[in-house]
Amino acid sequence: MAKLYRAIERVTFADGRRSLEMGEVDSLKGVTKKGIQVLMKKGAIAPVSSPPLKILPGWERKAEVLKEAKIEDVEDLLTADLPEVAKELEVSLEGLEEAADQARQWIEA
Amino acid sequence: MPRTTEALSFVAADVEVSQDGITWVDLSCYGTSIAVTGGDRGTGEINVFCDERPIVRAGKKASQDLTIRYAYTEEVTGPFEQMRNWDDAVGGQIYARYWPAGRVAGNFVFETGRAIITSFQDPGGEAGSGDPVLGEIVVKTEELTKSVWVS
Repeated sequence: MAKLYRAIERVTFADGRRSLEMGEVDSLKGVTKKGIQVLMKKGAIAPVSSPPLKILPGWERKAEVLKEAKIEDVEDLLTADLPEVAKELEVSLEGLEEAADQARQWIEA
Repeated sequence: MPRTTEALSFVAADVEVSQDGITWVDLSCYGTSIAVTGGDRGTGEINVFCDERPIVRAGKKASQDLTIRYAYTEEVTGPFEQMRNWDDAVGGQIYARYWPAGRVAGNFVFETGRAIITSFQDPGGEAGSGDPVLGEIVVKTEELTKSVWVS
């Protein structure tokens, strides 16, 4: 099953987290498999295919570094435990979060 | 084209209100009706000498009002007491949301976002009537947003 989904309709969560606006991409972490199936059947979300990080413009070096933590595509980055990855790669968490934001913006564009 | 089989009634709707958008009060077992008004788009028009028809242009949309009627009770933690306190608070802030087809994953939910209580009616009634007393609250919102609900 895909791990990233694009909101085709606005989605509101029962657990009170921020609603997913149309066009946003999210891993839907915490949503049950049945919940995801219901959303897909409703046409509210669609799975997103995840490009490898090395094809993002200017990301050749970043992709090489992240590969050491087995993060190779956008999906891997957006679903990773960033604090753990920052510790493993000995990089700043802020920089990693910024990279994840960039990747998210790229895939949402 | 054959008539739709997807029409639904409002009998199984759910409705909730909140003062902060975080902690919600379920009104579903008190609520009796929800009415939505407003949201009309303004228009402007002029006539010119050479043509009988007007020139019509679109303006902006107006705010929307949500009127919720519910069974009045005197429970200490009942919705009447809670919403009356919210109406008394400065600004009368409130959030409201409702599911026409019920609070089930995959159904639509309509949300006011941060809204304002514009009217809160204390109870009234008639001597001869056996009808349960109703309370009414009117909420003004910039717009009702529609989302798909997921649990």
